[in-house]
Amino acid sequence: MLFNSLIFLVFAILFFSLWPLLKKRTNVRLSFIVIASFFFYGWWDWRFLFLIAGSGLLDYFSGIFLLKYPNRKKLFLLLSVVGNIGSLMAFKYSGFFAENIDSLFALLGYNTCIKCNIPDFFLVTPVGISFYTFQSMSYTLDIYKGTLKPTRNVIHFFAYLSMFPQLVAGPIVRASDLLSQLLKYPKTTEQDRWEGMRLIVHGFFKKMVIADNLAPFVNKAFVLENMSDSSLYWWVSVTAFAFQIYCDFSGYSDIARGLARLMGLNFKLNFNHPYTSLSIREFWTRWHISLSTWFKDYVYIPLGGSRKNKFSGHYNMWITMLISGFWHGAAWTFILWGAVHSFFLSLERIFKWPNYFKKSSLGRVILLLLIMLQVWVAWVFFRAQSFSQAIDILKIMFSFNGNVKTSIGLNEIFFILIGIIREIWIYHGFSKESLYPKSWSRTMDVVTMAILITICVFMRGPGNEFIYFQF
Amino acid sequence: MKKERTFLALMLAVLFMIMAGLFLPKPGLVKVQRKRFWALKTYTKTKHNLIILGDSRAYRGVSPEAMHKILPGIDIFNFGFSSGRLNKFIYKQGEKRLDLNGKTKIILLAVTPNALTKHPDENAQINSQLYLPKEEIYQRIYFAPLLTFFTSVKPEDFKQKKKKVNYVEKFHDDGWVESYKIPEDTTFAMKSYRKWFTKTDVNPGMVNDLILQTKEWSNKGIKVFAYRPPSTYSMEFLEDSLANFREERLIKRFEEAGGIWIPTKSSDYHSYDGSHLRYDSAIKLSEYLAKEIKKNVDLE
Repeated sequence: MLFNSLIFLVFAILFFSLWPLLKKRTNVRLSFIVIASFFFYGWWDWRFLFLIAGSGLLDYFSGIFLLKYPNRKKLFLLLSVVGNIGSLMAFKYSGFFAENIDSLFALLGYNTCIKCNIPDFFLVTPVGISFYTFQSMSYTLDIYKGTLKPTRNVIHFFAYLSMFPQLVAGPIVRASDLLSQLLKYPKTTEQDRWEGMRLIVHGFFKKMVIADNLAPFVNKAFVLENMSDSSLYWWVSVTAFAFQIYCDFSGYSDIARGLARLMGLNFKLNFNHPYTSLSIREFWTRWHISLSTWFKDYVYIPLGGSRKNKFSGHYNMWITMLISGFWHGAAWTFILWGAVHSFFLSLERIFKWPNYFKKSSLGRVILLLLIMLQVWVAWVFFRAQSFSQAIDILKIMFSFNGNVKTSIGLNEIFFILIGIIREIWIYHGFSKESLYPKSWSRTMDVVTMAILITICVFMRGPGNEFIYFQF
Repeated sequence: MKKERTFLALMLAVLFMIMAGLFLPKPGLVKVQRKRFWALKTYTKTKHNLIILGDSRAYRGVSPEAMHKILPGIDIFNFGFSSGRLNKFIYKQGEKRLDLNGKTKIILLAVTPNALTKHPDENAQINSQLYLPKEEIYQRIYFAPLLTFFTSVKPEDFKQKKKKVNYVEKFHDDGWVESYKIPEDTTFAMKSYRKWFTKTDVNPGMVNDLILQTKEWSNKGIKVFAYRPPSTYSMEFLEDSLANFREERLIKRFEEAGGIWIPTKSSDYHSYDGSHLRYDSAIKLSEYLAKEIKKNVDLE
């Protein structure tokens, strides 16, 4: 079920109508969350509910056994990790590995088709599989580390794992954050409801108005048949994609956080205006925070982080970033995206070059643009359909040719500008008080919200699925 | 409740949305109306007393509403489709929509030479409608028209676009498309028809099927009427000369099979593109056809 669909509107109205009646008793409340969430997910394809259930049960029992048999902790952790990674490998990466093995054999002169022998069912990536397997896995990893006590109630566990607001595209919420919240009586104040609605409306604005309106232009730009050789066109296209993916994904996170807030729960911030970063390192503390911290806590630090020496820090960071790239999609372009970010991060670590720009305001503006430039270059690999297409696009972008004959229309420019203005607003720390007296604040908040809702309805783009669903 | 900002914002948003829905431009509205029209035409469950079959000249050229004024008490439905052929499939589909238990059972055939030519993808339009998923049908017929109030707009929609041709279409639930073009071009359709008729002729097999079907319907007590949809004199000449359309012979066989031929004259009507009738002419033709039918049917 998509957040931006009529069926979700019906679902949400029903859910929030019943929620006040059912939230009083813990087990009833959590059972309701599980049933609603399974219905929400099963709307796409009910068969994959067995996968969530299987993955969840594995981690639920692993958690219990980790505590019960401390001498066999490693065995149960291994079971959980193998089970989760195994399902990811089977459903998300089997096609990729088969294709690459076939290509390798072809290079050696053998014609094979391993992919042809994979059952069709395994070639369909279940929506949000990367999110819920990582969330499920973090549960057993935290128990293994001793930072979390397992729940003995399977309903409690599934309420945590399958919570519909964040089930298919995050944020990846840790059990240590959410389980305790779920067990408390969720009391909501007027401020909570307002904040929840504010997040939901801003999320829909980002998704439906900015991302969905930029999507047709970006999709058209990145088809293999596109022969445009204008630098301007490609800079605009990549900028459009940068704002499309940001608004698409952060929009989803905002809606998820808003829905949780309406339920009396609190999800941590997942995107913190990443395009205002003054270093790539800072970018990764602002972009998809729940995933970055997941990789930091469960991959980078267990690998040794930067504790041994400078080289190990780089080495571990590269491994983490390459895995992070691969997590996003079963294609070499995603791995390259991770590699490009690693390269820029290494340069930053070695030369600490952003520090030279931070001293003056002008320097900070230049730095902001230089960081954006690096992020944009990486996005080319992320969005391109192949390595060669990415290289071709980058060649044209950096040729800075004067070809201004492009198919860029008013719509694209308008929605990119909206995205930029939103970010600059934050970057310069503009406040509402600079526009109107503080006493007007409450009224203006209400009017602004009503205008935003109206814009979401009347300036919505063609309804696309959220990009991150595929990951 | 006064302090509940969420509630206030939602109420205010409803007000803003009503204003936006009333005053913002509605690009894509015709597309929604067109989709609804075809879905409604294909999936009509009501049985009718008079069914009109034919191609675009039928569904643009005959208004059931105008006919109804002359034929009160008769429920009329225009079941014409774009490039629709007169073939066994369409006869069956048309008959399905006829009230066979009613006292009055009439089929009105719009016989154009084009509707009697073989085409590799004949019935394409009705087929494209017949196999729509259920949700899509409901979406097209019920939800999409409701949602047109909320039609999405983009900055470019506010720019005044100077259209070279203004094609106006109004879709009626009874199957008629009221249409006209500004500016008119009475030779517009000639090129494509000339191209088509240099490749193909009226198909004798389809003519035979038409005669056999007329006999079958007449035997069942269904009154069958036919007419040649008027267009322009040049178009008629082109059709007669290139498509090998033998109108007189067809009329004779049709009448022998029990059908009633209604003669028409292109000079009495006005076509905006050389093929289709302007809405006022379509009404005129509809009234004329209804009067002719009235003469031959006992309506009491």
